[in-house]
Amino acid sequence: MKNVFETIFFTEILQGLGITLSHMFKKPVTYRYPFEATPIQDRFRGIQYIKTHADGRTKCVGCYLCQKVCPSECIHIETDCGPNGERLIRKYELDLSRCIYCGYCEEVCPVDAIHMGWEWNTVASDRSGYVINMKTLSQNYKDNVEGNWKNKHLKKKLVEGVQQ
Amino acid sequence: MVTVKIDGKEVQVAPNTLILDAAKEAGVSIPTLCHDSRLNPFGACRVCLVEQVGNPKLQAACTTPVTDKMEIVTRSEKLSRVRKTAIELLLINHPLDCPVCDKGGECTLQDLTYEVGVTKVRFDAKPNDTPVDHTNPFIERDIDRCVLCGRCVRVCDEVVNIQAISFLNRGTDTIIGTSFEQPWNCEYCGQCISVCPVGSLNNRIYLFKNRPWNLDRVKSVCGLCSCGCTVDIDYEGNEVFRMKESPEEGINHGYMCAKGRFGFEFINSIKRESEAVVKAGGESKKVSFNEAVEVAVEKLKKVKDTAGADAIAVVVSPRLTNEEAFLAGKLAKDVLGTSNLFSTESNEVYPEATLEEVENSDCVTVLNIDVTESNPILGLAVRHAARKNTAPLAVFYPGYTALRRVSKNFVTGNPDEVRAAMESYAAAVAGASNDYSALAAKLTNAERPVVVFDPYNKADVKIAQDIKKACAKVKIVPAKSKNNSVGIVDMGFGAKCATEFAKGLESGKFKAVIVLGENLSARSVWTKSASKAAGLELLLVTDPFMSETAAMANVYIPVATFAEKSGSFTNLEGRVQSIEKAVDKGVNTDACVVSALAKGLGAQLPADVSAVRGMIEKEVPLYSGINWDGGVVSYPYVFAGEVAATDGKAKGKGKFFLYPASLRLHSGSFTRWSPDLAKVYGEPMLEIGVEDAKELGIKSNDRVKVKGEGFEGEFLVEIEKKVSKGCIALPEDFVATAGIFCNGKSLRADIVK
Amino acid sequence: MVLAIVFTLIKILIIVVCVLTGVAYMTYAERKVIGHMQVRLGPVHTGPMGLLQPLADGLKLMSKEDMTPDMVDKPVFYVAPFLGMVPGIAAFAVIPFAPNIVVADINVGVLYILALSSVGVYGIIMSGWASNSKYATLGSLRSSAQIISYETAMGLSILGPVLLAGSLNLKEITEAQRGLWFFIPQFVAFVIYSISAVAETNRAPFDLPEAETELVAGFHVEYSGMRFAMFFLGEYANMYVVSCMCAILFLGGYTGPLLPPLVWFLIKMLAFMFFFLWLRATLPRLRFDQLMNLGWKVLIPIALANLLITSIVVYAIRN
Repeated sequence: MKNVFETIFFTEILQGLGITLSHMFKKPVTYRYPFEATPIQDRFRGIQYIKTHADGRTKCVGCYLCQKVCPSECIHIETDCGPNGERLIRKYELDLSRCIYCGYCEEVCPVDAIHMGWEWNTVASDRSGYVINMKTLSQNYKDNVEGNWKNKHLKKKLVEGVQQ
Repeated sequence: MVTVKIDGKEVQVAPNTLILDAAKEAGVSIPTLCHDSRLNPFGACRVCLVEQVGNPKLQAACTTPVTDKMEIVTRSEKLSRVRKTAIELLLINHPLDCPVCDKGGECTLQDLTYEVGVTKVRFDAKPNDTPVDHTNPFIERDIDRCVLCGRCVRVCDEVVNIQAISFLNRGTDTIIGTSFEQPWNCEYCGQCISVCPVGSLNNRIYLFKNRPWNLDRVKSVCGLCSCGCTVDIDYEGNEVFRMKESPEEGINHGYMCAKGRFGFEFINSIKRESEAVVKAGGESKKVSFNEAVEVAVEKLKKVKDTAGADAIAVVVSPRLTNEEAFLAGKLAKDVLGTSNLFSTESNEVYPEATLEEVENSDCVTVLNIDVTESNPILGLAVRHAARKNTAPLAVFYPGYTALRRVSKNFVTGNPDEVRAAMESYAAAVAGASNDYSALAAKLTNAERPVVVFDPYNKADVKIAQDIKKACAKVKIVPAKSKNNSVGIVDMGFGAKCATEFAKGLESGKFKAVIVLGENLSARSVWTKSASKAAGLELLLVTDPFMSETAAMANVYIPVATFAEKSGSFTNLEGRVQSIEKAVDKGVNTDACVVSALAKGLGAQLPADVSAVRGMIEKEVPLYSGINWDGGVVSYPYVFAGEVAATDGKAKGKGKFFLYPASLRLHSGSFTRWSPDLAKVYGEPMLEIGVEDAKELGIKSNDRVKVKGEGFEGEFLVEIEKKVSKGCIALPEDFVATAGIFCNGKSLRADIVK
Repeated sequence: MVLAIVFTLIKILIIVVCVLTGVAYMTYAERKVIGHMQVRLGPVHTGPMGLLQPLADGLKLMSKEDMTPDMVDKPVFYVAPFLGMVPGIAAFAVIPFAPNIVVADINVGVLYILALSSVGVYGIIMSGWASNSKYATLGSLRSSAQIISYETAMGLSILGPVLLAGSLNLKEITEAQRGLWFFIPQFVAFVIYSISAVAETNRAPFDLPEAETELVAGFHVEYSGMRFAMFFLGEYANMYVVSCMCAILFLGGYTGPLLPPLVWFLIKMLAFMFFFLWLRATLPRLRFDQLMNLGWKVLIPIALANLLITSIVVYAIRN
């Protein structure tokens, strides 16, 4: 009986129509990238940065753990003995075109040097810029701390997050 | 035999076996830190504590011998608590700088910490921050990381017998240090590095260069001196990062010398050549390998057609593998049809005693050779015999060597006095009665006597032969110099005297010479005639580096070093050991060069190791059925024939006696290209005694002129207290000094300021 | 006379321009409405709120290369788009937008519109045939079968209001609803008309001729540029026509209180247009056999029964 009623009066179709109508008045979820920023969550994993000491020396000690743990093998480190017998980082290269942003490097770092930042815009017209070195990574830290992002929209809240 | 029960497993072991070894027998592993099976039991770390059923006290497994019906428990709650505490106590002062510590990843303490599960130290941890000691050019010493296991101290004492480092102070102030906190006075053998369980003693050549988990490893044989040590070559990509001991393995028991441990860097040298060079009309041109071979083949054909096969000579270096030397011989004899096969080695004397026999000997005589410097691992064997077996050790040498510490019978003086003494000693062994009769009696009464001598000094060979003749049970050890000095003789490069080649060059008999890896200018037999080689129709030189001879060559082909090829070396015991290819630097091997030459000349020679080995087993009777991985060649005789008596007296006139010194950091050609060795010893230095130096008023690092009959040269001075009065010494394997020692092994000279 | 002709021509021009603009903005409205129903934004970039999007689309279509595939039946291929578009626009001739805004107030308006909508199917068949492509052929066959089937049901449902009004003149039908809009007495006919109208214009959920998943794009798969645009214009013009018809037949046309008649008419028409879009956003596409079942076995019998009852009632009241 109910079935006949439903068939005659298209109740299911009307229900469907009701749903679409109600959705029409919802706020659209679209972000108009690149004209409008997509929101970035606190635990977002973007381009890495490496912390520096107050005097500008890198915190990284060149222990190779991030290179070892990296599943996409995008980190390449070369170290050597410095003039005073200290550990010297000859080369620290991170290939952003290979990085899968898993955050293992951040996890494994024993000296709290490498971190995942909030910057994610790697778009460039050639590949050369994808391999970033210690200089860029340190600059990234500065940019992250100062909120000097390429994407201006990143919120102030995040700046505080880095400073902590 | 006694029966012990370890963790419920019953094993039968010899009485007085340590619990640790019995456990190994039973297949039970006990964690250890300060233990080393090659050293005496010490028991410093208390990590190996085990429970003995019925005994309330815990026993250290590495120091306690087993008794019959002993019952041992190695895993229990109590023991894991004790072990954990032991590690925690070690960690109180141990800085947790594993990320920057070079040992991280292969550190025993790190492994143990994981094993026992220490995550937090309960005590008030206060790591020290003492500056790192860099006074040793090869060894970094960071006393903060030290856990005072004493392995370095023990190995330096018991094995190397230099006692360069020891425990200083008492109690909590104890550190490992040098006497009076002076810079290290040691042989740079690096044994202490290899036994250090933490990152307290580090290899400065490898320091911070890489991490152990990045390195690939092949087990190979060291290609520097003739001891034939088993080594691990650690490499990443095509770069060798370190050459280290294979722990407790090989005839060297995991010991190495300064050359082997720190001198491998020439493999990675940026000075190595990568392209062949052909010189024509005074102009040198870089060409491809094939072009260079073509030019060489063209010239060989021309010389053979115009001057006959006898105008062609082949010279091989004792650096070549057996396979390569064999191929070179095949090329000369079968393809070119010449019998002019030369090398610095001669077939007068063959190896007899093995290193094990030296170690277990009950009487050792060392004739006129500084064996701890020239063949350090043989030196360790001699020391082992003298120290552990308390075998009487007689040493004859003009000047004191490191063996003086273990030898009660050290005969020194000027070279002529030493020679006279050795002759008297040989006579005493033969039965004559003189000053050395008592010493000789020790040799003749011994069960396993061994004589070590320098096979390159004809006069010494004669004395060794006399001793062997008089006392047949004596086993002789000719301390050959290069990694394959023995092997190339077996492959046929020892039949002709090396001087014959010099004569041939002088007389212009040779029109085409193929030099495989040898540097004529740096060999005293050839150095005078080397310049004649420049004007030959063909001088084909293969060498990893642009050596003095290679620079003269009109066809130069760069070749691989021992880390870049497979093959085998025969060491000074006559033991054939395989080497493994670790890296590829993009150059060909000597085998490829020979094979390509043969192909150009219309013959087929394989370059493949297994194919060549098949040919060797067929054509060289000594090697038929040999085990290429450690088989000892059984030579039918030791001396090929009666050695001609030579006058060993110092030649010429002059105030000083000049004799060739052995160097621990160099064994000739390759190690000169290792930058860190060169930093410590870059050019030949004149060794002079303290008294003489004072008399002449010269100081270390002065430059003085050495003048003798037919030679003259200026050298840096190094004042050595071990050199006898009236003597000076110079190393032999440099171009500047080869010209001096071509006049004889023992000379007289004057020093001009 | 001449003045009358010029006046008529101006009226035609105004209506054609309005219809074409309406069609263009219908595409914009469709994208916007469906976008919002799917919680998206729809076009926003071209112009404020994307209002210039239809203009951009038009420019794009005009500037596109006009491709003619090699194996097509050229004359038929060229004529088909015009046949698809012209009947849709021509139908507006008889639509009374307001009491005095109508190009040609003829007596047989309903019949005229039915006739034109039947001609429209020729464009589709011809394009499918001429394209020489299996997708186009299948699409056009489906389309013609569907249009013919549903035209029956639609015609039968239209007869209800016609009977009630007693006229085929659209203005008279509108005027007949001054008291009561016909969708109340003719509710069944209204529902049938709505369904048939959607099917008639090949719109979702009855858009089988263009089923992308099966037929790529259906009958106009081989068309590009302005020719493709003509099919599009035809389709949307048809939608306007059936919406206007619905407004006139069931919702009282331009009648209504307070507001001017033209506004009332547009409101009713656009409401029905919105219903089209709403359906598209809501319902999935029917299977072809379901479509045919619905048409022949459900709608036509019900429409016939409705017609019978209406006739009896009208006869009873009139006599």
